[in-house]
Amino acid sequence: MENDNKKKSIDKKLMIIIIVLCFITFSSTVVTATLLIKNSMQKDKGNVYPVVSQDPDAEPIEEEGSSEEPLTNPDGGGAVSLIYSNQATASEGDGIATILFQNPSKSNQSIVIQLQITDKELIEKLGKTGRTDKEKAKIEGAEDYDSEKNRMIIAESGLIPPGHKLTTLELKALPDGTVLPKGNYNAVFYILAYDKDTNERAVVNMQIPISLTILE
Amino acid sequence: MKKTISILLVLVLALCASIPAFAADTITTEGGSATKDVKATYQPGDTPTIYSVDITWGSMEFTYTDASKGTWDPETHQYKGATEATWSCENDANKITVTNHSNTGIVAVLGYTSGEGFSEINGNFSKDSYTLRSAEGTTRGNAPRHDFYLTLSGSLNESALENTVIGTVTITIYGFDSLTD
Repeated sequence: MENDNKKKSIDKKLMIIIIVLCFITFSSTVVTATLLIKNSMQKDKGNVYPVVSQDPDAEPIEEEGSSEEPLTNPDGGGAVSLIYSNQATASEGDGIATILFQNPSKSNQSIVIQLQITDKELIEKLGKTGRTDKEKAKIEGAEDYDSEKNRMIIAESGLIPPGHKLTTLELKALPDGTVLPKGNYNAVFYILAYDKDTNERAVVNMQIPISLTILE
Repeated sequence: MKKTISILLVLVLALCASIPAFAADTITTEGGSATKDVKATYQPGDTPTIYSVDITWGSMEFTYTDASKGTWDPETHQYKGATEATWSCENDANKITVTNHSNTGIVAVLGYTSGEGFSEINGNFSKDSYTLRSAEGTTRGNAPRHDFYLTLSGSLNESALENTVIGTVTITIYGFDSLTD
């Protein structure tokens, strides 16, 4: 009787061990399979690049001629349509700038807008570029430094997909904390294009000289 | 008191009677005529400039074929048919088209910037800049447009990987008004 009880106890323990082992085996199989499937799916996607987040202020365009055909996209290239005004106005140097920029649905590229000002313009208007001492030494101290080619970014949008527009851009202070004072500035909309399907950054960029007015 | 009120009333009536005289020349005789100048001031209509520009580009993928000494001729101990290094691309892969749908003229200026480590490679365009007239008076199909072609020169190191980014193209769009500022 005692032997029977002992045997039963051993059988019970054995059963628990088998169940635990089965569970561990099953869990590892599931994890391995999931990772393998995930990996193969990533490979299938081919040249997919990191996603740039869509600008929260990008609004759909109410296009009257929405039947307009998409632009012909050259093989391996890109096509973008830009509708814009070359004026931007902001109440303050670190406020919201009012702009007009549309990326109609006939484009096959999403875009990101940077608002840039050349070092030359900043030096003329502010007497400095607004870089931190460290950056100033690195960039402005370089032998081939050109104040007309180097620029500071004072605003940058998120992604504006085809069929969307942006009417505002948030201006930021320069890296040393300087806020653009009241005045008119020669600025540039610098447009980065990204393939709407693969997110690949285009090797073609666009820039549009504009007039930026800070009211106060 | 009555006298004062009477005088005031007379004055008011006299002034009222003279008001029509300000309106136009007085007609004093039967069948007479009067003239009044008609004045006008010009104010320009509110027609804001809207820029609308289409830009398309080819793959911008080029192949660099290094120079070849040619084929060794054992008889003469010389190479025959030597070729120089060339840059080539698929048909229209190097084409950039700018189309103007704006109600003002634009100037498209193209620039090539070498990537880091590829400063020996230069890019040139069939035209560095081109003026496109306003799209006013045109249809979408025949809007002013221009095709630019990029050609490369210089040499690519054999260690460069396939489809390495060696540079970028920047298209600057100037409006006529920004050029005259």
